[in-house]
Amino acid sequence: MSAPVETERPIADEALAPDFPWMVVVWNDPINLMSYVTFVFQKLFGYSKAKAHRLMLDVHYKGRAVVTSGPRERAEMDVTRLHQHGLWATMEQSGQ
Amino acid sequence: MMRRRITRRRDGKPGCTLRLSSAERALLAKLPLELELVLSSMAAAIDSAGAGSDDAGGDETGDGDGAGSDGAEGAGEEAGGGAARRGAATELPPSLRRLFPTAYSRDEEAEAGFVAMARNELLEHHRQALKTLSATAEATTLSDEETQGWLAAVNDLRLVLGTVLDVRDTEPGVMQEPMSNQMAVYHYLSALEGELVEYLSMSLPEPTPGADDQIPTDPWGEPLGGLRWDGTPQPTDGP
Repeated sequence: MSAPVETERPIADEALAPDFPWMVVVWNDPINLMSYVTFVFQKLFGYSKAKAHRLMLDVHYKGRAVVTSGPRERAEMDVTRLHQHGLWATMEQSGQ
Repeated sequence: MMRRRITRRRDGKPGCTLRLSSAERALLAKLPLELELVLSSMAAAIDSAGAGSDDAGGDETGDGDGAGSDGAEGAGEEAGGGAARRGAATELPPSLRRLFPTAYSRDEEAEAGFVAMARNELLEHHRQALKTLSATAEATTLSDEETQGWLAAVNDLRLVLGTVLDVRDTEPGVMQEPMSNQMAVYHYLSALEGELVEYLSMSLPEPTPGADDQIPTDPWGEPLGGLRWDGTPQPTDGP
């Protein structure tokens, strides 16, 4: 991993999409219990039971759900916490 | 109706009461240690790979009994060179992949950075939970913090066992007879986890005001390029 470098020119790929937020995506898997996935969404993100349940159903039936979005650092933190809870989470930048 | 294994303490103190048979307790003491042993050798492999590179992160120095295996594994990997040694540390056996998911499924460089940043912490998180479960398997009561550890450890064990058993469906209708011992353990852990979730759900804090309104809408519509989290094609035979 390279250290951030002070530069006057914007780095090319960041200049293309500077403001598109990162989406944290949870993917369906056949092992995690549905009640557990709902519980994790409530615990980590403070969602209501109804919304957490809705997201879980999206994961289960649509194959994935976007559960949070934000700047890259925040998305990495959310992915890290989801991984600590055994969920299949990736992060993708919108606008790509 | 089946008797609950995990209930609120009757004396009003925080935490739960465990009602488990001696066979259950023996299983819950032993099983996590087996996985912890695998993860501790993985930690040793990462340390020995990191020792030869620029971002060595060996912050556990007092681990005396790990030193012998460190040396042995380091010697075995010497011939492969730096890249191979790094690969050996991050390449996972299939049974463990669910414990260490990919964050950036379409960007190898970003993923390598993420692994360098997050892998050790994730590894320690898994190990700590497994140790908590094993160490408290004989307890009659648990604090809520210990119960969280149980949930994390039981979930980790299910992820590994489910992967080994190639579980493809969570519906109870797919149970097959005769069941292997491993499958019986898997279903037992599922039932235990269900009770842990139910118990811990009772003490979840109130929803964060406004949090629901922050849930993003899915900007892509269809699954991303037909790919799953690990870059493999999305299965098409969904429900």
